[in-house]
Amino acid sequence: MTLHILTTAPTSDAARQVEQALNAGDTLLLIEAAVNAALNPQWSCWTQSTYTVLLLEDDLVARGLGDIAKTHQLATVNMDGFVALTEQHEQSVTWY
Amino acid sequence: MHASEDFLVVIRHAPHNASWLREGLDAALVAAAFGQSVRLLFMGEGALALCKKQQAGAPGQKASLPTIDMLEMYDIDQLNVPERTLNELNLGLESLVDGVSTLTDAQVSALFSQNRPILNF
Repeated sequence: MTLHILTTAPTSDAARQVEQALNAGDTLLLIEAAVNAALNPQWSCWTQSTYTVLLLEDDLVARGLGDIAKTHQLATVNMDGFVALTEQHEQSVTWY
Repeated sequence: MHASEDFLVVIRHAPHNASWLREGLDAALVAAAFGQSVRLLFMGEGALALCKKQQAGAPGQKASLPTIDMLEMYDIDQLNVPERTLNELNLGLESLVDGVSTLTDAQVSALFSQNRPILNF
């Protein structure tokens, strides 16, 4: 069970690479520029169902995308949730 | 593939552009110097680090090919590249240094499910 943290846009190389690394039961946490994924509910990570995908609220709000994420009914987590995720997973891998 | 190594170091950035590659290779060498077994996975543009005809480049740019050649001396012989990466880069194994083995998509994701530290560059 790995926590994968993506910091770059869903169109980036890193985004394509993390998809290759994800296994069933993992969690993909979108932070920094990766929260732009809230704009595209058709992105492959949203439409699959073998691992969990979460947006970090703080970065969403910072970019004014909070409402858009709500309208697309995309899952979010706050900073405390982020900390909890790091505890629940054996390790985390960050993709820059 | 035998049981998982002590470390998986993922290299995803090309030579010469930034220092990610050097930092990743240095981390692998340090781990190996301390007797840890290391597997290197070159993804995306990282696979360009394995091109065997690399030169030092412009003055001041430190070449990284010598470091790739040195890996063997530290018993780092697991150099993997996803088949998908070679196809995307339109790069063949014959352009790469010796000792590189390709992985299927399933093998790549399996590498990330083994429970040992993963360093991502």
